[in-house]
Amino acid sequence: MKKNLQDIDKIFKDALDEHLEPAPPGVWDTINNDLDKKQAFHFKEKYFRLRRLALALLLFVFSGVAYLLYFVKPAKNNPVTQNHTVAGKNNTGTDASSGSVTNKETVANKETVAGKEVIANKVASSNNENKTEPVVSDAPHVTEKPINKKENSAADANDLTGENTLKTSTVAANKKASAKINAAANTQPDTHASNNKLAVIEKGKAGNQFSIRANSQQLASEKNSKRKLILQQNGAASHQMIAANTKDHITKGLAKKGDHNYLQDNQNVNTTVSGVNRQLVTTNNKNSQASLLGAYLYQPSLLIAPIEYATPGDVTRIDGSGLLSEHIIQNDSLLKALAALPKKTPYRHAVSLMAFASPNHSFTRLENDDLLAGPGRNKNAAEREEHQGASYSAGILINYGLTKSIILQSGVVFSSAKTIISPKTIYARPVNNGHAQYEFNCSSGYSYITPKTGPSPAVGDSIKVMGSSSSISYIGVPLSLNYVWQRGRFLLKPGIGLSVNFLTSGKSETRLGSWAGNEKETSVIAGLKTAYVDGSIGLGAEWMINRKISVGIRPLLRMALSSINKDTPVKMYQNYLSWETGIKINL
Amino acid sequence: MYNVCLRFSRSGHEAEEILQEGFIKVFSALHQYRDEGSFEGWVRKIMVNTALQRYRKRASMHAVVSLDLTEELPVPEEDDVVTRLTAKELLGMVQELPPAYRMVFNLYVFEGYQHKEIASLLSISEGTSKSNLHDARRWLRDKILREGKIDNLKKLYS
Repeated sequence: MKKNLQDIDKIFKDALDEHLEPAPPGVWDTINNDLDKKQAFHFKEKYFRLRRLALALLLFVFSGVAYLLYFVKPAKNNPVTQNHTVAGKNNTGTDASSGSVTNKETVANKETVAGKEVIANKVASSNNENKTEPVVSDAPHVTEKPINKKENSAADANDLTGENTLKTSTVAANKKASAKINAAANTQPDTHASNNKLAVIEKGKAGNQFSIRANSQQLASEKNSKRKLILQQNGAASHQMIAANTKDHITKGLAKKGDHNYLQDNQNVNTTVSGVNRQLVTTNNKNSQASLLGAYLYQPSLLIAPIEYATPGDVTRIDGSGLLSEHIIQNDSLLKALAALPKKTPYRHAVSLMAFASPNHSFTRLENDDLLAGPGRNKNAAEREEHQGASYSAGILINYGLTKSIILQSGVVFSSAKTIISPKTIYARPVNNGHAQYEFNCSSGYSYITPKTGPSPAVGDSIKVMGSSSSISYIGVPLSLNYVWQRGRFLLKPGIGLSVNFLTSGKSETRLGSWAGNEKETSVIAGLKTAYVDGSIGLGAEWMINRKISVGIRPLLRMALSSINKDTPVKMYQNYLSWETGIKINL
Repeated sequence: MYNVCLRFSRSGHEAEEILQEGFIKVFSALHQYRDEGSFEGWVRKIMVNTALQRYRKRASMHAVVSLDLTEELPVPEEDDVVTRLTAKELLGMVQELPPAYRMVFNLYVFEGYQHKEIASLLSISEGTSKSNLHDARRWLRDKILREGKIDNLKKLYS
């Protein structure tokens, strides 16, 4: 006994190992309820997760549509752009799209005029050449307002631009002749360029009060003023001068009026230009912070230079050298043509049809179901036993051009994937009709098999499956957005989209090893969802054979966003890497 | 599994709670079973871990028990003391063990763990594990002897 008591471990182990005390019956009910609660919580979590995903997708789609509708529009007619187009060069120092003048350009402009003779000098030079005396100005002098250093600098740089401005050098020849442009009194013309339309103010036109006067001598004496001047004369008979308002006036006007440009003449100029066509063109780019004032004075074979004002008080510029030779408007018709430049035709939504076929590399992602997965019926077992077989896709897609560079794509796509399953033993289980059938499980679902030969199986019977495969087919409706990048005949189209895939068939083929030899059975796979969603991302490349027909290839990655099956131990996500090759016809 | 839970618990009610919690874990983690070893062994391990987890959670609530084991009780001459005790009574004795002793005793005797493993599972030193096991044995032996004396008294007065 003493010895027995010393071996206390054995006493308890022997006694309690054989002791079986049944659990109270209520315990199993409690476990069952707890499991239901856990399952409900699990599904609730999943539901919320899906809902969040759906909301995010919805937001993304709305954002995309809003962006396309409100921001991606064809560029409107821009007078600045038009002017530059007519001029043939973009040399005004003003960004046509933004209307801003960069510092670099300003500096360049300064450099252009730096070291060159001012108009006065040039005029004097011309006068000397022509042996004529300069005309004494009878115009009252304009009192210069104090300006800051920056303005001075700008004014210096831009004031009475150099040689090219006076390249025609016929100023002196016609020095004594006075030209006077008196379109109106000193009131400021509102060109209402805020509508981004080219405004043309013609001489003497009612309501357009505009004075353009010039005096070469006065101009010469006002080298340091903030005056903007374009002087152009030809040797024949014409003199043209624009003595623009001082920069202060103009910039103040711009600052005050915002969308309007004003050109005001405060100077008395004794040079009158007569018998020629003069027109002043002012423009304003409403959409930009900078304003552009382009004044064109022209007549046949004469030179027209624009006066441009960038941001108020910042840059004032007279394009002298380059522009003068470029902004030549030969006659009225050109200006009319300029005003009547063809408006951009609205984008015509391109529609095309594409037929394609593709071999697929199919691959799957498996997930265990928290409740149904178990020994022999989990993703590890499925990964061991199964591997992907042949897969292909074919379909017809319709492309609809939302803009020139964004294409909406949809259509119908048929996809099929095959899975090869290794030999294994399956067991008979009771089914709903009361009979027992062999249950064949695979990652995509399960099927019940009844051998055609031999006795009906009883519950628990087993049979060897020598080999099997499952084939699943879907018809998908994709919706994707593609960006088009074109170089000549070659198009590159990266795209992203979603697709809803509807199950068309799901079958399994098994070869049973029975006493009657190999027997082939085909059965429908149960547990498949009727539809699943996948997301796609691809990069298409097309070659335009002609305007109607293109051929292309597109590697496309399709990743399942939802599983293809339900109520199965393993959830399967069917993914594809497709190589779509097809032909596109523009409709 | 209920018996396993009974050994690790102080009462039937606590055993039921461990069993429920353990089975919820079993069903939730069913997919993690990798066909290695017996399924019963896997479930049993989950139950033991659940009991240990519960013990660790409530470790601070366990009263520090000081057993008076200095007095050596005489071993009775009769050798039928043990045989007279039923398995249920022995189970009751295990359940009456102080929690720390009960855990070490169960892990060592019934689950086959070594002191090093027990020390790791219970976050104690190996020496403490050995000491607890020794004390648990003595406590149980004294309990058996006392039960034997009571039985003798019962016989005497019956």
